[in-house]
Amino acid sequence: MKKPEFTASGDVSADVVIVGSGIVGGMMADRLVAQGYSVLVLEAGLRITRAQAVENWRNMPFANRAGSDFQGLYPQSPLAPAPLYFPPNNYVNVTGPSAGSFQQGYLRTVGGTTWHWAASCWRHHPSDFEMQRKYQVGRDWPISYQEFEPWYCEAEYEIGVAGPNDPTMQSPAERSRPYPMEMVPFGHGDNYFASVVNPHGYNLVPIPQGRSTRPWEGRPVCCGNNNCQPICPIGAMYNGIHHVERAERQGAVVLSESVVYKIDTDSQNRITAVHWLDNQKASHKASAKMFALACNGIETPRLLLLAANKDNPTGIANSSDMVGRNMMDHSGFHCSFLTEEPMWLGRGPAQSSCMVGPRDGEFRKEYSANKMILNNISRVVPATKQALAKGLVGKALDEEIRYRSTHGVDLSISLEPLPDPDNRLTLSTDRKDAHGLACPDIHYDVGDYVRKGAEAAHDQLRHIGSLFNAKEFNITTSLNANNHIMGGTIMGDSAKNAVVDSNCRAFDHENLWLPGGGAIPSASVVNSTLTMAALGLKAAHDMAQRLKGGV
Amino acid sequence: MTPEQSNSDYDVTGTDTNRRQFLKNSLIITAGCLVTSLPFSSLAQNTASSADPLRAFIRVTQTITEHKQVNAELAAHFFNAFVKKVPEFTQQITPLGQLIQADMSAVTFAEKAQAAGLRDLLQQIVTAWYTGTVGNDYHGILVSYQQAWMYRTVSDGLVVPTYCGNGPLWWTAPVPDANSTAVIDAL
Repeated sequence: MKKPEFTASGDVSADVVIVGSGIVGGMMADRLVAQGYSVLVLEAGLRITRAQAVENWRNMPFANRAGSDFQGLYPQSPLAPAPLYFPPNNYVNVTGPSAGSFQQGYLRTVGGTTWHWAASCWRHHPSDFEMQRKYQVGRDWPISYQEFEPWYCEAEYEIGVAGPNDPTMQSPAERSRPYPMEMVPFGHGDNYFASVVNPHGYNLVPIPQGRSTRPWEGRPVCCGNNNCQPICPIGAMYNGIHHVERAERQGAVVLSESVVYKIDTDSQNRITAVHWLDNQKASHKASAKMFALACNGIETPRLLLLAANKDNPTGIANSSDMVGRNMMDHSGFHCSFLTEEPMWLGRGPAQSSCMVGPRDGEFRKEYSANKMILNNISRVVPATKQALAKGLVGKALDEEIRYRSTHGVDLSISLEPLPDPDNRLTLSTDRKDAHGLACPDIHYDVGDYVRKGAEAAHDQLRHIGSLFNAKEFNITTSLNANNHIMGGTIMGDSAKNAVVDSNCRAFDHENLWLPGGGAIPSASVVNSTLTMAALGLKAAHDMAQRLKGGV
Repeated sequence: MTPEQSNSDYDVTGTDTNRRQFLKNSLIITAGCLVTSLPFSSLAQNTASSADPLRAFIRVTQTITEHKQVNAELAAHFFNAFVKKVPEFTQQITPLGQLIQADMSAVTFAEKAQAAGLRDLLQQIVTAWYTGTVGNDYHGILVSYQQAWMYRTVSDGLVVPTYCGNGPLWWTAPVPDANSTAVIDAL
């Protein structure tokens, strides 16, 4: 077992240094340490426990839980803040026409934001890789879906994804291996909803999910605690912490509360070291042969800009001026209504099925595709708010809550933004964190492609509502963020207009990789995490090949 | 987020043990034997000399919700949270309770409270029992998560989130009759 070597002063050397301990960093650490390399992982945030998060969630006031305060239950390091909204801490200041659509909720903690993800493990559609060639919008990937597909398989087996093996229920169906686990079975609500909408082409299918339908790598089978977001109480859902702990068991060292702020480069512009501040604000240096920054779609470009040095005056890896540009997220909205027949949503995991009919087509030349998730989060909380607001008392109150809980539907719709260099992350000139490091500013406009896509989705939803004879049909008017942060270290085929190549290796630095959401050049409409994990595994393979001298 | 009060949630939907059931039964006050000997004096920190307001609080709760059973320990926790959160609570709860007449319906009680200028307090009490929280915003005081009454209305078909209801992949079982009033009638 080869381990990083520490000096008496706390400096360290390793074969590989990874900054960030989320799903991407943890999975890469596991892959590389398993091949005999010494690996150091530096994490800005705290190390927390599952039980602590569960208890904190239960102890939050009703208003926080009703408002989906998925951040507040996770203890935060005062030296590495994450965005908070109850009340807002303005750590990330978003401006522009769609500022309200980019209020992200990512965690800075060992294990990362998959502590509170929904475990949706979608693949990009093959068309998503060639948006410019096929639809004359957006950007193309420098590799095809077919070339990338084996890495999707790898990621699905690392996470332990439960998905449908019936091709008619897959999206996309182009696969070279079956899912590692059988799909999470539909509940009553999924079956009923599918029976109504699928004859009309909306194609409600099982969401491929990172949760267990049989015991998997120490994880129990899902017990339908219906609390995937913000914390799975029993660990049946995959979290990045699973790979972090697996890597540690093999000798990787993970240092929490270690905020990287400076990057050294040599005369060939290779990375020689990163510097971090510990929780006493003392600085240390980590030297290595290879480096990866996998800090999150906002924190990675922020660090690259913060670490500008004499030879890289506009930021590390930024000769293209693309670092921090092309920021994307699946801007979304919700549609709610009451059905005639009881749905009984809330039985099983928080997300189970999704309409993918409008995911691809020639219309993408004109406007955004969409996907529509049938949320399976218990409707008891919104039902109670609505019933109380009616002023009901006595048995009538109980009956109203029961009716609304069993007949309520909430659809979560995601849209695809196009990469736009003007949607840009920069460093604040007046806000700094407790280490004195500039906080991120972001300018954001979802663009007309998304706005037109929203209008098309509204028409589809009104049709769906009519199929259910819906009551209290409502579509939210503002677009919300979905925490699928992409684009800030965008992938391409040239250093002229991109930050990384198809292995997520920086064009400017031959031993620096920037895997994760920032590299993704086309948003698609599906959750980005599986793609991030696949990119991380592909990057780890490239690193290992180079460490072996095979490249 | 620091909770003001962490009340132990001892009965879990679908998973009651005999011991849990015994504890629950021993602390329930029914409409027929209201506040005889409350076994929670150590819990009612601020209420040792204010038994009447607490008694009124429980009467108000039972009348406005038409629930036959009220957990006395939980009632004391809610009472204490109201004392902390609502400055006029102690002065208002006794007159609110005095509006109650024998066999009064919840709707009639609400109308009388409205006429007496006490409807807002009554609504706060109802909201607290159903949401488990005293207060409507993120400064609210969490009293109970699992025992919030909203979850009881669908306890035959849905788990309280975070709790494991009936084992692995349980949700493929047939759903109950949504029109059944059995679980509500039992409250």
